[in-house]
Amino acid sequence: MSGFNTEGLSAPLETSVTPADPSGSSPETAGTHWVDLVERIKTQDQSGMEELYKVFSRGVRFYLCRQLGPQDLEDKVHDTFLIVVQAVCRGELREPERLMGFVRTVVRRQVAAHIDQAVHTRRQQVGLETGSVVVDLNRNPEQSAIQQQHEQIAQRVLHSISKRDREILTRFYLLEQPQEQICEQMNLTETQFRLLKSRAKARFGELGKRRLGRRAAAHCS
Amino acid sequence: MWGSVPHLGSGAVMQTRKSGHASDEALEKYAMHSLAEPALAEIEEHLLVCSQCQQQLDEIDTYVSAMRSAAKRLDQEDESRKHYWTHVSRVLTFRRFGWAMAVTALVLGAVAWRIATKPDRVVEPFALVLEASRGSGIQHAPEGRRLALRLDTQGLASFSSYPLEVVDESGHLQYESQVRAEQSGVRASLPVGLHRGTYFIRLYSPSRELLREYGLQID
Repeated sequence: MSGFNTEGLSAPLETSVTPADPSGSSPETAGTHWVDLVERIKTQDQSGMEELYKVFSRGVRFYLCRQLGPQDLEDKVHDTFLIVVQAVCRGELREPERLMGFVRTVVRRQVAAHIDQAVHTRRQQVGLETGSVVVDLNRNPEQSAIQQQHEQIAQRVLHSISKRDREILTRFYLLEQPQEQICEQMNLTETQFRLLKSRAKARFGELGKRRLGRRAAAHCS
Repeated sequence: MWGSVPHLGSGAVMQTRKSGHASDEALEKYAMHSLAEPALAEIEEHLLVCSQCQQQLDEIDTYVSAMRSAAKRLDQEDESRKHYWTHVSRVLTFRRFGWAMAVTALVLGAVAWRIATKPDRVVEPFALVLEASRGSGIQHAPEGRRLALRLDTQGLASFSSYPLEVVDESGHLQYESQVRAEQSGVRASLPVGLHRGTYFIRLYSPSRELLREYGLQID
């Protein structure tokens, strides 16, 4: 793509997204905005591309990090935006009002391609070259400690409820049984099931806040 | 323009809050990979542009992960406990009777051993002073008790020791020994108790001449 200025895209922009308007915009308004944005990108309007990055970068980064981990994240985000911009400029986006859907599709394909590549690489490469870097996907000590604390709080929550309720939550979160199956087998209504989950979650949050409060008090004293 | 978050699509099939954000339930389903199209597409598109829902999803991820780990750990602990008690009860059932018999036999054996090795109660011998039987009252002693006798030898020929016999009223010998003479007479100790009846203690000279006879009543 000659004459296409990607400097604005390569340099990390401020990714803060303006807080959402609680009332939200209507689908029609949003659609119009996307159409307008697509037109600006097609005309290679720098501000259009900057806005595209500003709106989607956080979300794309969030999605890619969740699916693939933090390794080479910025490169992947950048690649995704390049693909979107190039596709828009080539006129491949037939429904500009579906820009969000298009970006989502591109991101999902990026994830699939990366996983495919990783599987292929593992199959083809027998040994590691000397000096090559292998990413440690384990959590760092701080993250492990935080995760352990969360698990302890969850254990307290599970200990504080009846055996039957514990079984219900175990079926849902550990065994990943669908809600309908659990309700049928445990003789629960949908409302009772939701109530149990929300109480457990509220208790989890409450215990977590208490622990943070104790830690802050200990830190200040 | 970008201050407002695009509303979830008009064809949204998943739950939303009034503000147009994804509901906690929808986010939880997404976090647990149990959301199907088209709800999946709607929520993913919304998450691309809504930082509030991204943050909420992060919290839900943390919660789901913690609950999963905790439930797994408690489940494993329950299984271990169950397995342990199943094993214990199986072992006890199988050998319970045998162990009970073995323990009972041990206890009885210990009791029997204790009884068998228990020393006799040390009872002091019954002390008596016997004088000449002709004309003097007969002495009494309890049945079964050892007897410590002092025999009066006044008027008798003096020897260093005397043969002594204990006979019953039929003249049958019950006990005999050699007793030493002392200043005040002769002391004799009968190691076994006598049954009820009348007995005579006979004192002889070394040449087996009867010197004196004492009467004794065992009651």
